[in-house]
Amino acid sequence: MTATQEKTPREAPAQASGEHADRAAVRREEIDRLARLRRPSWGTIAGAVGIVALLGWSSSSTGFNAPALIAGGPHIADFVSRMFPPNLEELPVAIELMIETLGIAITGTVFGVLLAVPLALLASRNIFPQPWIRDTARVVINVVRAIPELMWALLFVSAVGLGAFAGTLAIMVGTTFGVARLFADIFETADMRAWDAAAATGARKSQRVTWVLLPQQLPTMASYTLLVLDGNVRAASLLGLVGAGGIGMELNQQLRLFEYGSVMTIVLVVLVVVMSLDFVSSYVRKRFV
Amino acid sequence: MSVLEARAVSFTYPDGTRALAEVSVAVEHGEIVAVLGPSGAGKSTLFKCFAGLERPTAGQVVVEGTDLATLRGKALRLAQHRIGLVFQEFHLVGRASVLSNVLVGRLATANPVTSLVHWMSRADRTVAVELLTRVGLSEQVRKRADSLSGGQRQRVAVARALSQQPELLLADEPVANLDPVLAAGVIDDIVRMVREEGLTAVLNLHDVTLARRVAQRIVGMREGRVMFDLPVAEVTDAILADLYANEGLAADAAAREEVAA
Repeated sequence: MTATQEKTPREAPAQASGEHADRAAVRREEIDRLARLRRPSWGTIAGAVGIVALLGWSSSSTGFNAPALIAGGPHIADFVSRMFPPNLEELPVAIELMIETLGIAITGTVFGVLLAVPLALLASRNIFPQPWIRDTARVVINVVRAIPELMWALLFVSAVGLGAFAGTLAIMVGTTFGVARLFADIFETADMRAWDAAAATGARKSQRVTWVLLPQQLPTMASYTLLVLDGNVRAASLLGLVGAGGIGMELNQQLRLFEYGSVMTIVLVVLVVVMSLDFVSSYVRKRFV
Repeated sequence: MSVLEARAVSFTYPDGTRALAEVSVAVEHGEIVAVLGPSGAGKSTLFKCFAGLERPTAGQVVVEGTDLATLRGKALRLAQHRIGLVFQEFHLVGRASVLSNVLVGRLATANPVTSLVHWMSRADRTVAVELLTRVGLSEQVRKRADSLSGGQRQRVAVARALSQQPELLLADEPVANLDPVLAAGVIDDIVRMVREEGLTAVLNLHDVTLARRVAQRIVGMREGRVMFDLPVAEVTDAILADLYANEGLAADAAAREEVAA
């Protein structure tokens, strides 16, 4: 190094070409080193072993075994074949109950989303900068959100009795806390410049919410709401299993009566409704955003 | 009594950057003052302190005899309502209508309950539409703000600030995002409206020509200090060249002056 630093201008070209060759060799070595296959780190190996162990443990605890599945193949085929032809006499009942199911899902989603908005505002750092408000709201949301809708349905059936009302309440609570979390995240990523400008006009926080924040975020919120409605129709189809109204109750009953043709009709009605809803909502969501 | 007064205002950002060092400026009723200076001079920080968006680290900002830092809650909101702000990047609600953006300026005095569902009084709506007409946007009242051009958006923001029926209008580089021809038009509109309403205005500008054209007084800032505070007639090219010295902008400013002359 000292030699190169002390070189005179006249010596420089000759030395430079030698240096050039040296540098090229170093670079080639560097390329070779980087291109070589890397031995997986001990962390990666340990992780892979851990995942295999977890899979082994969880499949053994559920009694999962491939031979039983293969041996059961004919039974499954038999079960499916007995579902044909679908029993069309069941159709009017299935449609009527599917409408009730949709009613549960839509009512629960709408009220749930309306209740989610204030909760989400409390959980947004940029709306309520006080940590105790935000943290409390977030903890409440996360705890309640962890309770599955079917459990809420069981609770509400014992509180308000069997039927669609219990189901609607279950969907509503599930939606409120699930969506509150989503909305809080949406609010926290909002562009706050117009909000700050409105604050500087002397507008109240509540006014800033309805005049600035919500207009800005409504398309995203609507898009998530449609996605949640999708999920809620599916959830509402199962609520009948615990007596909370909808098509699930009829499905359960027909299964117990071994009326597989009727079961097929019910499954088909659910399938058609869920798929068309999915189609409509993805079309509308594309137009929103 | 001055409408707006900075008394030895200093401001240091949390990272230790000293943006203002004992700045004292007084603005009298009906004056239009331009604040000039190279970037980093502290103009924007001074704007924030004037507007009550930042609190000075030392010194006082007094608006109509009141120190904003002493106010809380409703009193603070009503004091802020007396100051209209215009920002470099407009700060509008893009998805909302032009009218709705302007009505935001009326919220502070509107009914706090009915206004939540966008139910504003006829009087409020009339004020907003009238201002939009005066800035030449009567055709755009129902359009979405983000469908407008840059110059139109800044006019909407000006209408929003004026709908507060403020005593004082503060603008931070209101035309820095617009091309020069549009910029002159927007500045002329702002100044015309300010004169018509008999307001007091402080405009942060980076364009010497514009500042000379519209202001009665120019405050020159550099490195957080006031370098000069003179009536526009007394601001010579030499003084301006000094303000922008070593910024590579002196030549620019002089060149623009020649073109204008």
